[in-house]
Amino acid sequence: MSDITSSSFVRHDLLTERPAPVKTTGFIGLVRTRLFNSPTNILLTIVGALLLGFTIVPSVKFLMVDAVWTGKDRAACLPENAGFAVGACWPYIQAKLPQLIYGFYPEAERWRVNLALILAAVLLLPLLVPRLPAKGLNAGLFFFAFPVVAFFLLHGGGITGFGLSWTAGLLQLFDDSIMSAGQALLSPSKTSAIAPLLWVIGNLILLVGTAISWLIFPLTWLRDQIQGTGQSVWVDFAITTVVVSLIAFWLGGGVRAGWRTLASSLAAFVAIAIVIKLMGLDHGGLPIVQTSLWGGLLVTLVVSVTGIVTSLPIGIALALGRRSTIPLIRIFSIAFIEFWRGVPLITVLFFATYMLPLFLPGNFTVDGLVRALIGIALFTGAYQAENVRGGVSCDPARAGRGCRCARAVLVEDDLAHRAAAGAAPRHSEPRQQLHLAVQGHFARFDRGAVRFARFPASVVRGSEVVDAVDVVHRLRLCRYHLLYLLLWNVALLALRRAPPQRPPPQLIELHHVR
Amino acid sequence: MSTEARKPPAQIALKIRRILGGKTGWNGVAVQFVFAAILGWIGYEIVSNTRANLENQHIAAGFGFLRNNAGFDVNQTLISYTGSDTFLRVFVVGLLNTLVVSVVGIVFATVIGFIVALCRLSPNWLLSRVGEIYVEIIRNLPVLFQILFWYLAVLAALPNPRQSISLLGIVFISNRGLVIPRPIGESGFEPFLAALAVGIVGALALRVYARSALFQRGQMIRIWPYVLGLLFGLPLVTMLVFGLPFTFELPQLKGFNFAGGSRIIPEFVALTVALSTYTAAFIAEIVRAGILSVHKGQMEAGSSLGLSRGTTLRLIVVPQAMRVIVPPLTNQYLNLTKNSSLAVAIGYPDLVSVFAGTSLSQTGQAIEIIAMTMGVYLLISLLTSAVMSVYGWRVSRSLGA
Repeated sequence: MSDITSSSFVRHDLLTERPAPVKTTGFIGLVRTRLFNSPTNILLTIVGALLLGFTIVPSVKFLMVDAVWTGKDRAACLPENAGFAVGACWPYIQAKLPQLIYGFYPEAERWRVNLALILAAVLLLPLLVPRLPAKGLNAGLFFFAFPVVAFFLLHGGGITGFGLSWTAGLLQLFDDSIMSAGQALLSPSKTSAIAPLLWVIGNLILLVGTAISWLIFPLTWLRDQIQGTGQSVWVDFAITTVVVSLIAFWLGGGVRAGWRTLASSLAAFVAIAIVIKLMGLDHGGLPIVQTSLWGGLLVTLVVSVTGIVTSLPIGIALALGRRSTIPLIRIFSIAFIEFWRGVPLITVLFFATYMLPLFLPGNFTVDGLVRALIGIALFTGAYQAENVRGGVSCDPARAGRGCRCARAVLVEDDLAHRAAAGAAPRHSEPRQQLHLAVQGHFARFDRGAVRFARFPASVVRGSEVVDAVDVVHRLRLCRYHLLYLLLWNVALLALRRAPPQRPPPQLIELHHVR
Repeated sequence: MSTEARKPPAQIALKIRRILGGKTGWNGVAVQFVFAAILGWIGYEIVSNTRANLENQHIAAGFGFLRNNAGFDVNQTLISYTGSDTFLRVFVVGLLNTLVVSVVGIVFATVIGFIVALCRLSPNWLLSRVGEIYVEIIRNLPVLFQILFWYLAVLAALPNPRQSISLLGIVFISNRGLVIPRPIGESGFEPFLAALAVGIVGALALRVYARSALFQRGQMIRIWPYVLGLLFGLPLVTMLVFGLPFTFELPQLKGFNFAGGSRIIPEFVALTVALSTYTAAFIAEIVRAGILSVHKGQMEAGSSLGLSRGTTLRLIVVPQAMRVIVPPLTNQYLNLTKNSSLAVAIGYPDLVSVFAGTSLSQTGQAIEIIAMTMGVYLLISLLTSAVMSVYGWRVSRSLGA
């Protein structure tokens, strides 16, 4: 016992303090651990410092130290005036700044550009803040109303008619095209070997054309009558308002549930009327500024906003077309997308400038800027289509199954209703399993996925269909919802924000769609 | 009560319905008819309008113009070309110029991109910040702006040939472009080429043999001394036997310009620099993403198997990183090729500039010329994407994914 105690060692005094560990935080720590911790790293640090020195020092010298800051124009930057070797010439930029922003837009009219830019900012900013309400209205204003207003603001000019005249004009154009096709088939058929066939087809087409012209005769007659009156815009506007509001009222549910739709439609038309009155569109509008005078930042913004706004609907349509199982639509979408993605933008612009005018009727001239915009819309639309498709197809956990879920729940819901109404429920075994599985999935998906899913399911039927084929026929989706859904999805995609979470599946809402 | 089995439905009709209308059946067929009618109508409108417009402008449609004399000069040609050559020759010249700038740009972009990616991944704080700044600045400026910057702000600001910047007296940089020595073939050129070809083929065969020996018999064969001998020794020996393969003609300053050597036009230099630095920023991010996508555990697993760090990298990490890197990398190569058409802004004689630009304004054959130009780019893109899908198929098969 005592042996052990005597041989055991017990320290009687404290150890001397060891030095504090090397500091690894803060600036000193950073320098020690990340910059000078090994010979290689020291070398790399020197290389990095040299790189920075060779680029930043001359740039700062050029932009700030050697630059000329005061003066009226370029003359101030000449070495003999400044007295030293001159770098950047800021007075020149200052003198040319209006031109860099507006191009050659007439000075007296530049308030219009400013107003359009302010309007865009006012409409865009709340769209980018997720917490603010009324996203649907906001998106509608920005994506649909703003481009029209901006066109009349920037370009100027007025209107001579409204919805009715435009519809009549379009239909007449369509009819003329059909008639000319029929005439073209008839004229060479005298000598051709398959003459009788061509003659029959040509006459058939002519017959169709004549029928259409009789069908649209009331419209064209009404338009001519309206053009005869002094207040053509307002008469036309009133008729369009009444017709469109009535259609909206009817589609919205008639006397039973359509009053809300009627009110919003009337409100929209009142807003349009105010805009027309304010901008004086009914008598000429603002003075016209040719697009050849536009330039600088203005054109950049016009092109990019147009590209953004137009590419999304094109992209969604093409992406859904590419996912469709209908062969012709799928092949067309693939060819269209791959074509525009495979060529450089500049050849697209060449195409829009040189080839597009040849494709249009001879009496129909398109402004140079508009041609470029068409080219850019097609080009960016194809790229956007691949983005949309990537979002839909490569994320099966969200959208792809979401589609199926929405569709399947609709079906099951329909069956449940029939059961409740006394009709014999025909729940087969697999279907019930599907139902359960779907409910399980569905609980995991938020409202946004379902909203997103409903759109493809209703627009392109072939794109996503549940296993049971017969369910397709049970779905009677209201057509007017398409516009609403398009708008919603445009906003949703544009914002890419997570929709608010709501725990239970929105069965009631799905009813509403049906 | 009879319980006979129902007849199976007619499979042929179902199949036809499926082929014609997809999952939607006859509804889909009806939709297709409407769609085809609309397409046909648009097509008819386009054709008839174009015919009328061409007739009004007295332009004869067709590719006959390709045999006419071009009558303008091109300031960079890889094949012999004079103003009296045909438009077809112009097309080939432009196409070759596009291809050469794309290939050179792709090489430089890959090198710069990998270097920048390694910089960003480096543990050195300063170097990774430098890489980050490079990527963020270059990626967020339009490529057209960068091309114009290099051409108008950098190259045009260089001194004239008499005060040109010389690198070791061999390469001269001035505002007239880059002057480099020109190789001139000598008597030993053909044997040298033949020896080089034999060396490359032999080295590849050795590698195949060594790999099959390793995989089938588990036998490690050291081949690198033989490969070195084949690749460098054999050409060296032929050089000693047959004489030098080529000599360099050095540029000399004579009067106001250089004589001898070959001159690379400033447009080419600006375009290559701009395109390769711009694409390199994207490539750097792709490479970084690819390397970061391989889990750290893979490296640890490799070392736990007793593999050295280099072997782990070569056999485990890099193949998995390449799977992520290669598809977007090809996309960037395609983007570079397509962006090279912006050469028209600085007058580099590429396909768009000489063919869709000058030839189009001289002949007015808009449809044919633009269709040919677009077709070339489309062909390049489609070929590349076909190759890529084969590659993707092979990779997914070899990784068992």
